[in-house]
Amino acid sequence: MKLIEVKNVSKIYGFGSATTVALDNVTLSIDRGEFVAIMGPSGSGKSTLMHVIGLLDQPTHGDLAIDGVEMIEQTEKQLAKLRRKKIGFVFQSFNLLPRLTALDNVALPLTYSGLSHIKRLKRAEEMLESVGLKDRQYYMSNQLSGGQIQRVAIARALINRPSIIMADEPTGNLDSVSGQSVMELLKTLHEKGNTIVIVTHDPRVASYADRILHMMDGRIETDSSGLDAPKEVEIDTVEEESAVEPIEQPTKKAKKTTKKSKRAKKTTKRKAAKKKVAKKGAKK
Amino acid sequence: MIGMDIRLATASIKSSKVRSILTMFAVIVGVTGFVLVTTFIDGLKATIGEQISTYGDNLITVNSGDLTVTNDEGEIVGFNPLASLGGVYTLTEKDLSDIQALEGVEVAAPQMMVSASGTLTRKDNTYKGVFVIATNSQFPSSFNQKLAIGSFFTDEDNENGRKVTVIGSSLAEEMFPGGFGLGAQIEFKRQKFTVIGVLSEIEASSVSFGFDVNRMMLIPLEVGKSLNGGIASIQEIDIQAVNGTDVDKTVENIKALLLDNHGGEKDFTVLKQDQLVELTDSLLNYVKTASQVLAFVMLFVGGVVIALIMLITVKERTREIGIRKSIGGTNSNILMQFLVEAVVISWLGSLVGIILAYGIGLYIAGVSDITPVYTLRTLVTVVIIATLIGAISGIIPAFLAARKDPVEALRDE
Repeated sequence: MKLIEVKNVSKIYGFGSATTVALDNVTLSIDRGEFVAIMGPSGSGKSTLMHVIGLLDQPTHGDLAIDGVEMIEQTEKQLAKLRRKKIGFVFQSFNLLPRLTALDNVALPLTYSGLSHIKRLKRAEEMLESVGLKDRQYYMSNQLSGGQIQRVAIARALINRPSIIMADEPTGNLDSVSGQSVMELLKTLHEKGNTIVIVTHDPRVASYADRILHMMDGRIETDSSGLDAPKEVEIDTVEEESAVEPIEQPTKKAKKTTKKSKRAKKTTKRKAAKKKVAKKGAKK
Repeated sequence: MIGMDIRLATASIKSSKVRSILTMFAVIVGVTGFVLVTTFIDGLKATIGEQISTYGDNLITVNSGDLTVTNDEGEIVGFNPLASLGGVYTLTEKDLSDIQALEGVEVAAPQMMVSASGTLTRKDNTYKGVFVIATNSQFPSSFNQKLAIGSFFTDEDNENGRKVTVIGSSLAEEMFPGGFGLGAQIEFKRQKFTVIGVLSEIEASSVSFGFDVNRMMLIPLEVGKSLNGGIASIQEIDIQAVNGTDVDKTVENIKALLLDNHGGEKDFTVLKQDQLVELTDSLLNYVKTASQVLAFVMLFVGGVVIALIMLITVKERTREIGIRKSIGGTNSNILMQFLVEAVVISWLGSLVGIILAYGIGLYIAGVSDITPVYTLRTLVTVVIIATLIGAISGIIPAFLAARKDPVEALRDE
């Protein structure tokens, strides 16, 4: 089932001779439950593509549909609402609000959903627990490590149970150990059925994905679609409407993510792990 | 939603306390000024109203100059207190004696201001800023005042131009600590006056437009004239109507008499007690409005400061705006957030201003006789002003914040 459909999308900046083509007639579709990595050198248009899919930026030409909803010619207000409901962002520079606690940061998207303060905090607490940071909920972001901050950001991205999680270089500002734990978390989320689109230039990060797009000069050069994507996962998750209920066993999860050192040793076994994913999916 | 905006605003204000306080400074000063001026002038009005009421319902005052604005039917529709600033005293001794002869008039005492800030000497001491008034024997009864000791000068003292004086209670205390100084000699304009009486303390005295009526020196009219080249320059005549008579009718009679005496020119003002209250109220309202305008200028400056700081805040928090938009904040959500922040800053400044004004008010009330009067109207006015200042100064920064492009905002360092 198509979750994201990008049809002949172009994004052009500037006028006249100063024109820059950031996206050049891109067509792409992403199914529910896929884990897609968009790779490419800087300036290749990968971030622009992500901003367009993430409804932060409007294409100059072309069509975009998410969950079957046509996104072109939506008002600013409707776009904001769709962003809130359907998309969760994870950024390279984390983008937590420094004046708020981890809990308040996670609850932030809910303030625009009109939920009561207590309900917001309760849900944010659950979400923090699911990323293994319940004991850090009243910490300010400057009291947390990079890996912890990014996990808070992921919890924030998940709080509205979005259809897509979009991560822009999520490990770019992290050391390899924290980076790996963040990727493991994203992997787990994917296993739970979430659709993840990740922008990266790091092949190790991209190796977590089951589909890799290479971009160059605003075009998709190669698409590994179907090459090593475990279809079982995809088929399995299609049946779950609106994909999410991402984490079911928070305490177990917490233990998993905090055991960074153990994880570090497993770096070389990543491919094996990937196969395991496929198996897990099959078992489900 | 608004609750969240207010929480966010207070968090943001708390996170940069010094800047917030500096931002609020002009608003604080403006509101403090506004509240002080308003409550004290309201207090002054109440006190003067009370003071005038002690003069009794039968009091009629005649002033030089036309202080009233009347309609075609001769009804008073407003006051023009500035008319008294000309300093031309149009009332004459003939007016006084004619009024005294009128039916329904119990007593009538002139007030000839010999000096509003006279200097007295006694032995080697000097006493400055004394209110020297020449009048006649009917002065105490015209104001329902009594003497603490001694006696007032008589018509005979006046006619013979005897240099005798009755002084106010504060002046007596100052000059003769522990005694009353009856029979003592005091010097004014190189003339020696014998103290023959001391007035009882006049209540709520310090509010009388800056003059301490208890620092008064009363001398006979004839003596006053001799100090003024033989001319009686009468500023005011204070009359008590006979008890139980129609005061309005007496007022009409006095008006007709004076109009006749002054050749048809209405260069005087006749007021009953309640109209006198109105007159002082309107005079004080002038002062109030003038001071409030100054406070408003300060508040305007406060608004400009808030607008500038909000512009800087929006610029500094561009990234936050990007984040908020990326997680689903709409333009109007962002607009409200910054608008509410500006209003909250203005409210907090006003709250501090009110508290400060209250504190200063307590202090002034402690060292003077004026008690500030806090009305709901004053409070509501301040709240409305604060909200308007915040909203007006916040709207442009908030609008700029709302319009920011999310992708560019997220790139902001």
